[in-house]
Amino acid sequence: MDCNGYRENLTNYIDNELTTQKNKSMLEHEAICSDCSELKSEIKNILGSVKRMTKVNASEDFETRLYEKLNSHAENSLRDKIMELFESSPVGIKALAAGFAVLMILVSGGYFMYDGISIGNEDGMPALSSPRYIEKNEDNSLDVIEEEATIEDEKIDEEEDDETDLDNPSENEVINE
Amino acid sequence: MPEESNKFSDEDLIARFQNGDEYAFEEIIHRYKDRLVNFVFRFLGQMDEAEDIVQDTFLKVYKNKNAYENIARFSTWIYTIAGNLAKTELRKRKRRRIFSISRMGPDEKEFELPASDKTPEEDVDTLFTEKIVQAAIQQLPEKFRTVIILRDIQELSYDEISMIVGVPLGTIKSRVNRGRLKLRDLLKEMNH
Repeated sequence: MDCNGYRENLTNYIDNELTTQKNKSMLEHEAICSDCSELKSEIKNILGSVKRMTKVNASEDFETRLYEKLNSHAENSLRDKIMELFESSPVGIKALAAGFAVLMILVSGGYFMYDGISIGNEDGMPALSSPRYIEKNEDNSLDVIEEEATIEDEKIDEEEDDETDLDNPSENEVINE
Repeated sequence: MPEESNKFSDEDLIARFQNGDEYAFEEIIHRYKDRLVNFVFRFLGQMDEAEDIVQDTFLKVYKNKNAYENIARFSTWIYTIAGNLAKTELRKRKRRRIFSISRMGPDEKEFELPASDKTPEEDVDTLFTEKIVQAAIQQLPEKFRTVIILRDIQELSYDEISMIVGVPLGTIKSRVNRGRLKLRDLLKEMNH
């Protein structure tokens, strides 16, 4: 056996996986070749160092972070399934789902106002029903005037209620019936 | 289930999980998180990235639990997923050219190797710190690095490595042999 043959078989030799005959050839070669003999020692020592390397473990919060990701994935999957169902469903169901979505937005809006996080009003309160404006007095003091709903306004509201949907006559007929 | 989980094999656990038993998945996490983090950390050299990749591995197992078929060992399957994700990360990193072999474990700590009783002539690596060995492993070409970590650090069998890497047994043995010789050359260079 030459040095190349020795190198090629070194791992099997160290792992005791060579045939008796090949094993004997390896022993004979290293007895006459100091380079190959040294190589074997070096490789064995390196393997010892590699095996002694510190076992690195997952950090303490590894599982907590993983379960957060898994929960997030589960929520996204549910949302995707609802969207998939919505997109493949007939128009009637879509309208129903849209109505439900609007309802949910209104409900959640109320919740946010309750928590003081309304985006429509900086002080977190519901919007006032009557418009307000500020008037300057002669003595430079300021008055906040709250405008009452007028008779004209009420009339306009009534007219709007009487309006029929010209774009959808069939629906109006059902309503009139 | 949690108290008696030890008597289940990995294959039993994934089968139970496929049938909706979430505790079985928790047990899989307990069994594999440390060894996978160790494997990916030795491959990439960065703890935060290693943990992210192992988390992604478990997410993939969770999402694709039904993709596992009981024709191979579960360990082979999960190591393959983690290994593929680690390789993808390595390629991304190469593209970003931010590869650094100096960043080490969670504490940036340099570990001293235990004292050796061998003579200086025989023992070329007693002076090497664990950090240097880690750096040398990371300088190995990817195909050698994978098999060296799986064989010499994770101590998997050649058969398992062959299935994880997807190449014949003879090729794996040859790669381990060449990988060890290259590792020795690298360590010698780094020591001089």
